[in-house]
Amino acid sequence: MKRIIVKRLSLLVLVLFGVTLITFVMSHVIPGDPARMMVGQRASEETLQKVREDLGLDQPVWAQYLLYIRGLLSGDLGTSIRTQQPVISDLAAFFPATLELALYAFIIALLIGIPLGVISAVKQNTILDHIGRVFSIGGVSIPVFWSGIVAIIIFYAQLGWLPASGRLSIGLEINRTITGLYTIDSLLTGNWKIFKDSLWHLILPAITLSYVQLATITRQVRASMLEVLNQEYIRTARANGIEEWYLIIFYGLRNALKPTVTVVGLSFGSLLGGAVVTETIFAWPGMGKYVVDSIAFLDFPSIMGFTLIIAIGYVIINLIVDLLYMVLDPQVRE
Amino acid sequence: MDRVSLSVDRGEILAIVGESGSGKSVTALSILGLLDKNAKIEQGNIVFDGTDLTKLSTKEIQKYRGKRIGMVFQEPMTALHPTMRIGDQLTNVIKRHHKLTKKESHPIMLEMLKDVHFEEPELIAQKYPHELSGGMRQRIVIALAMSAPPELLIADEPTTALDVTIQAEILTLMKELTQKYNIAVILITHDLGVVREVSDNVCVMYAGKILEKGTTKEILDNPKHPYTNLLLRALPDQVNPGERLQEIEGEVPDLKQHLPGCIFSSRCPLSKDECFIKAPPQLSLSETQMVHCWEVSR
Repeated sequence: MKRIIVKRLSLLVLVLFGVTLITFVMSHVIPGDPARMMVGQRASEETLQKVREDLGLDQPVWAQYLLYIRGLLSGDLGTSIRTQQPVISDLAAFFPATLELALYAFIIALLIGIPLGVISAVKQNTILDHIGRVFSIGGVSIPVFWSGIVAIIIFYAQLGWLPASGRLSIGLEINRTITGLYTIDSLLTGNWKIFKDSLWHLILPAITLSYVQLATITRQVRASMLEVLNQEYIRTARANGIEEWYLIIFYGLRNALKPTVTVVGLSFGSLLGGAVVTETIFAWPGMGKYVVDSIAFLDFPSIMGFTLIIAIGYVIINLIVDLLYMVLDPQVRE
Repeated sequence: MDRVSLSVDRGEILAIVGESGSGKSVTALSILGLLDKNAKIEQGNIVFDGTDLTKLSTKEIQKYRGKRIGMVFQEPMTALHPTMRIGDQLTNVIKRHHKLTKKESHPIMLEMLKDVHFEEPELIAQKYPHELSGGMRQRIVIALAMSAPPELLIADEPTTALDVTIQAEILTLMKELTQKYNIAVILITHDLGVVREVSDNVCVMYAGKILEKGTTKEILDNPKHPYTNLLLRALPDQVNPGERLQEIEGEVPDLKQHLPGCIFSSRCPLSKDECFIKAPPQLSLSETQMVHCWEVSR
């Protein structure tokens, strides 16, 4: 177990090196001049030149890359061209919002997706299964910008049940941040009002964001449950008098979860990276929105910082998936 | 299966012999309602100890599974939960049948493992199925089926998937447990060698019908039905080295068509006209031996 973790973490370094190289090259070969974006169209040629020098843009690309890597090694992700803040502090401000949204979406997807997949498989070809299937086909085929807007129209505009934008109601502010996740911080400090309000604000965006993952998980669980429930060991256990519900969960689901874990892990990665649209619709002050704004501004230090964070997230999730695999399957452990 | 009535006493093994495709496994599965959803018992019933099992609801048949009727299947490699420790799989079943907690089931579990000849039950209980050989796994499957213990154990080709050397071991074990727990065993097999090894009584079946039954000694030493004869002659030890093995020509007829005469008539070397027209009479040859055949009656 330990050996695998160490091996994976050392692989992480290699992956991250590759990611920086690719994003750096890509952001520097595309046409566009961040210095011009910064100073505006009417600035003089001298100002432009000076800004270029300040940003290091006058140097050859390989020298710029070396400079960037040197900064990275000392924990410096560079300075955002757009906000004039260190990228690391920008990300620290926006990342927790994205993480919180992704986590809640993930929990919703798991809590609904797994039981739904199991029910669909056990009640294969009944009305319950058909409903489940239509529901999950909807998830993978309806785009978030549409389902998000429909959700806002129904639950905010028509019914007025749920807020449609931001992390907190106007006038409320969180006084102390520990993790940056409002629901957790407010719980830790015992601020019930903030906790309720932030949870309230999470419902619509988290459900919207979770729908795609929920559908993927449901379909995967259904498929692998169907396969597992036809295995002979299920029949043996049934013949030995194990009752049906226990059989489904501890003999069926337990083994059906193996292939599901991979899908689920990858889907959490895409929740982190794919929250961009959801954050834009719900005016969620997260990383997705930040990076969209940065792209529009050719703010390559922050784009690279964002990519790096997502890459780290993916590698860590893959590691967790592998470890879970070892927990679920004793054969992998050896 | 057609009007088959079998009786087995406690502590006895009844072997059902027949070639592949004669519907043995399907019958075994249908007894405990374990057939796939798309297979249905169209008509007829399975009566066990006065109760028609086909009329029972899933919930009611559940009370029979493992508790009153145990089953051992052909394929030990896939019959065990791949990611659950052997000990847990056993206690899971034991605690249900004996209405105990997991902790209370533990000593019984170890006892069961010892019963199926594991010298170090504690060690085996910690293992996963993939760490065990086919023969070991089949012993676990037997332990699972015996854990209630049930009144009746149905073993469907329990040794077919195993090496010849392991087969004898499993058969001896089954015989031993039959006596120890005083249960009735139905052993389904296509192998007369297996029959000779363990069974007390034999029932020779063909396409869902009983052709001959009797004690093992009677059937093996004094077979009356042509089919039983052919089966015995097909055994490898009945021919000298270098000689061609005997085979029975033709195939088991389609169970769907109803033949008016003897079911075996199309393949029987001794069949005469009447064999094709009328069902053969039932002839009692001794207290125990019974045969359905025109040829024997002549």
